[in-house]
Amino acid sequence: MNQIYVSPTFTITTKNRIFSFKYPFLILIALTGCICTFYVCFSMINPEYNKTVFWFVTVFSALCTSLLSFMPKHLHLTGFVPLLIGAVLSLAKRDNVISGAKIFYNYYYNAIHHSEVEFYKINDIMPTDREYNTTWFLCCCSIILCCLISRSVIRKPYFIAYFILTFFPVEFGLYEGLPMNLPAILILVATWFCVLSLQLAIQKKKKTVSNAVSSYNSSKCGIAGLLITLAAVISSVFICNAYNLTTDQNIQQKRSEIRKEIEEFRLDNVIESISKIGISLGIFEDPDSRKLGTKNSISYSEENEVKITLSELPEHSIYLKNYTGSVYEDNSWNIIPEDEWKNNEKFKALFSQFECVPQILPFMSNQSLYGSENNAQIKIQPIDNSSLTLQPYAAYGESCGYVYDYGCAVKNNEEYDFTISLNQNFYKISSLPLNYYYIPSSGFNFNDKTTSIFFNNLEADMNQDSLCISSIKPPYLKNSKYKTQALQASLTESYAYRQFAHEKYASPVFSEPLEEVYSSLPSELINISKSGNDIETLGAIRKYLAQMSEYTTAPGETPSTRDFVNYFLLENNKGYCMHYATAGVILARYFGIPARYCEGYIVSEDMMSKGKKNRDGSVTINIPDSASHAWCEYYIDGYGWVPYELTPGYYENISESENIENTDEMITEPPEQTEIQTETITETETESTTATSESAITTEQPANESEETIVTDNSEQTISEGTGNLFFKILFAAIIIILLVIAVLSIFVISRNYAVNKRNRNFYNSNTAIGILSIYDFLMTLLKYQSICPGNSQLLDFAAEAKEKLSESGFDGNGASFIIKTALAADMGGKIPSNDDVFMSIQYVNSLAEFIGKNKNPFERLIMKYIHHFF
Amino acid sequence: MMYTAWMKILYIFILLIVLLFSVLYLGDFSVLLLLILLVLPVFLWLSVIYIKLCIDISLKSNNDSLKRNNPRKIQLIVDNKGFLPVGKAVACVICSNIMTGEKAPVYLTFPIPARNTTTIEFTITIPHCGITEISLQNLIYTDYIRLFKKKIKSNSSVSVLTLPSGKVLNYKINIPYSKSDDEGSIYSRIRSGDDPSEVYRIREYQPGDVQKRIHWKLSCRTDTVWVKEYSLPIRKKAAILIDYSFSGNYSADVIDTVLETAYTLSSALIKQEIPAAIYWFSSKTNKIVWNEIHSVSELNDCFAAILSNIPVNSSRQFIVQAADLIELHSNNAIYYCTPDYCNENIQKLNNIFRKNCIYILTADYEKRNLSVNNIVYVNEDSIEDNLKKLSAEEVNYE
Repeated sequence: MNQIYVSPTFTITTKNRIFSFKYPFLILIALTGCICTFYVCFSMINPEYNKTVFWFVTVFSALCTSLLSFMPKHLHLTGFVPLLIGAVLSLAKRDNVISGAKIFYNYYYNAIHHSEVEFYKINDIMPTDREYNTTWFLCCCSIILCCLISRSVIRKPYFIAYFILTFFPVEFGLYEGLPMNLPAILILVATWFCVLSLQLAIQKKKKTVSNAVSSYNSSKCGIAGLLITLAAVISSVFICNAYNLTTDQNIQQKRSEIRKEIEEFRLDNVIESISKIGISLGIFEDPDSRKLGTKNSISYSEENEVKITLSELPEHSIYLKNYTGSVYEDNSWNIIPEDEWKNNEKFKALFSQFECVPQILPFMSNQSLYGSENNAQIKIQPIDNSSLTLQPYAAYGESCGYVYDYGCAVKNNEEYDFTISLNQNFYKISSLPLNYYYIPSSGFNFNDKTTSIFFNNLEADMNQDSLCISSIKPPYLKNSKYKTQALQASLTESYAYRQFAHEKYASPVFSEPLEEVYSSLPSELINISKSGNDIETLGAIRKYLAQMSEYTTAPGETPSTRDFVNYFLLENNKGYCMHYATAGVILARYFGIPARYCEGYIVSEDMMSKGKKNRDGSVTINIPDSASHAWCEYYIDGYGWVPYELTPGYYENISESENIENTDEMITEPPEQTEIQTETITETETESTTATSESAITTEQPANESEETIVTDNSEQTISEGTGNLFFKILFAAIIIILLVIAVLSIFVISRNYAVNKRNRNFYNSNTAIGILSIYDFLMTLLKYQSICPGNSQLLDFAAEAKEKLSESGFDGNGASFIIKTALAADMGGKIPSNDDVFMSIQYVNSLAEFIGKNKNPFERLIMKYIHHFF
Repeated sequence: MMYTAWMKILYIFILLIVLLFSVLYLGDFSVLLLLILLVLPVFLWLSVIYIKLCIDISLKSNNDSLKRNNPRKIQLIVDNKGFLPVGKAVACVICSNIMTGEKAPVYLTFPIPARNTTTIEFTITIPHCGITEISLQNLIYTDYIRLFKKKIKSNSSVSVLTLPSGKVLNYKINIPYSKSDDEGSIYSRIRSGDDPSEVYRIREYQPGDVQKRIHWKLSCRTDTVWVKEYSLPIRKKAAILIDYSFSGNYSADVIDTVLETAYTLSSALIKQEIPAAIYWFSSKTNKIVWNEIHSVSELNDCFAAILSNIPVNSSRQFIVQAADLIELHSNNAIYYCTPDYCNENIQKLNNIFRKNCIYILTADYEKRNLSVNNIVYVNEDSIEDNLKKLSAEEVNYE
């Protein structure tokens, strides 16, 4: 052989004698594993059994198996004797064992359900027999488990087997959250890593090293692994206590949220489920939540984000709402928890079945106040953001579904329409008086099932002669296609939603930092609020906010330890629309005004005047990102939610008082209002109204309704699919593709590893003749790859030819000649090659394979490696 | 080799499962387990750093020089002063022959016990002559669950010299007798003779010694009778030219053949007590160097010097310089060993030394029908037979 040859065998000697703890240490680990597993299990389930007998059997069987497993040669198989004994005992005493198993399950059942109810009815067994049977069952289990655990540690430490054997008996209780003995399970965890360390420290190729050194050292590694894990365990416990990780309410709440989302994972809606999990983990932004004060400043690129087309221009700015924040907590706005809606059967039916949502109420009211001729069509087209659903005020979407009391969902997110009232100045509405309108009950067919459901949900007294609606406008519309919706919406608002709005949106938010804010409010503001006029109070709040702060787009971040409103009003005194809207809503609620936080776009009059006029008279307006805005929304009883501007610079051009003064002049039908206020609806009117009401309430079937409009539940889905739908689809597709690629690559890697290992096993066969013949086969494959084939020539001639050809290609050919000759001799029953000959031949063929690979391009190398498995 | 990448992937996978576990499973344990899994790598990493600080590694060779194909034991000594053992460490040792340029990596996998010095002894067999540099590249070890891999770099290396194995010739090399050397200016260093002009050594009188050889003066001064032994004049000298300042790239086998032949020839001449001088070109000093060889140890030293010299292909002046020196040293026979047949060189030598020069070339040249007569073709496997030509009573020098 013509290469530097390194003998694969080497010796290891140590200067100092290694004192081995191997045997006692392994026994200790096995014993600890057995004891801790049962101890943790019992600490959770708390069964009644004979402790002395059980623990004696456990320790004895663990020790026996351990000691027997150390026996030399095949005698170590006697370690399985306890397993047989356990099996035989189980069979011999099967009645007791089965009964014991049932009793034990009852204990488990009681522990997880915190009850005394027995899953298996075994009342006929005496208490003493119960203990006896349980002990029998546990002893049999103990013998079998101890035997298996000891075997998994002692003879050949195998982590996976040890982990499965020790973890799964404990797992059933863990999943149910049963309290357990924490030190015992932590010791068990330490033993897992110890066994893993032991397994990894044991040398696989035992031929190459001194077995004694390796074996003794592996136990030392096990001890070191155990100590390091114990150190990690102690540190973890310390960290846990120091940071209250197990007791902190926020963490527990977060865990519960994530657990809930994972448990609600649905395969039929993977994307939504993943997005919900992602949101609960904080990976994705929650579309229902707005974190406040996280930005140092805001900047705009002036890129157009939305395009709207108006059939007619309104007189005032239009607010396009995208988000409504109802609950203020932890410096963020959130929606009302969904459970409140889901558990609220009244609104569930009214909103989804009868479409009596508060979102359409201002539109219906405007139909009554200004007439149906004051409507315009608005077409909304979000640019590069199909998930953006914008909702104008005093609007009604024919093909739009509404979400609870704040949002809407559209079928086509790329382009959708609303019919809006041209009167978008809502300041004057707040000054209108609340009137009472009486509708005779005789006009409604209460015998009809649908009508009955509607009024039941309204909780209206159907036995009275007339139904009273308090509103700022007449509840019905004459000769209007919306008259059904208008009447139902008015009834819903008057009887159900108004109270809800005051309960949920007018309650002051209390916290220590906010109370500090409330206590610092000026007496002037408090005095105005006492007048009970919402619009005046809001005006005073706006004035106060303007006095207290300065508008800037770079107010800086709110420190995480500070409350957003407190920091804005009492310390930083700088902010932009988000700050003003939030603070305004909080203060409005403090004064009992139902208010909400809103985000979206504001289309100013200036922007509208710059819009592009189309041939049909409509105007197309591009809305840049700088038009994004946050505002306050407050509730006008008998009318609905309307926007209120609190940000300086946005309200100066609106003369509030002037608008209020001119209100009566601007309303087109004031005589009707006064008439209706004083009179009960006439017979003729009643007939028509009743007919309309009946028809609306009794004939509209929920099925038809759901076909025509998107019911609330479906619209939720539409929203979720809309928000980041594309992103998730791409992400999902990418993950699938990556997984497929990994799977395909894994096949190549695994097949290559299998082939190489198989080849090496053949090479290192204890029969060197077989070894050299395998090497010969591999050599022939390599030579064939190099186009060196024996053809019809004799092998000895071929050996010379191969040598020559390899030498010509720059590789030493002597080795090939040697292998062919040696293999020929071995095959013919001649000289059996020595170990060194085999090792040298292996080294030669491997280097030949490397040499061939070196001269190939990377692609060919890959083929050689993963298709031909040459190296 | 250490599968740390797989273990890292596995660890991340387990971490994700435990993360899920900590969410799905109620109670403190699941949180603690997650925390343990997060804290454990920190401790493992610290342990890896600690081990690095505690380990010293070095290489040692018991024999500095050995013949070709003789197994040679190399020791890797790992001293772990710390209290943490290492389950599995892999040392990468590179053996490279400076002369031939061949390299062989050696990967040794072994455990490192704590507070102990471990010696890993492995055997290498070097097939070609030259100096082999055995250097320890690094020692790689991992933590106990193979999450972190650490590499200890080392500059430790040992150089071992591989000499030609030397064939034993069971015949004598015939060297032509030179008349000019009748006076005998060179004497045997190992045997006494009858030339009274030079004293070989002085020894105590033994019965049977001739009286005239008693060293009277010395015997008078001491109480012992001393006897003079005369020297044995040597009248034959040989020069061996090893020219591997050749022009082409020759394989290690060819160079080995040349060196092996020169070594065998030298050994045979030592055995025959014929002093020989080996001439070779030192690429370090860029000069011709000659070493007079009288013993095997001198021969080995000479070859050590030759082999530590990396062949260059620049000096065609070797022959000119060597010829001058050889002429000056008036050798009886010149053996020119080279893997590189250069007609110009041979003509030069022929012109100067005529029939006294024998060209020893490798067997490859035999097929080329060279015009010069006094050529001996050698094959590594049959050097003994090939050199037999030199033992003929009448060597055909012309």
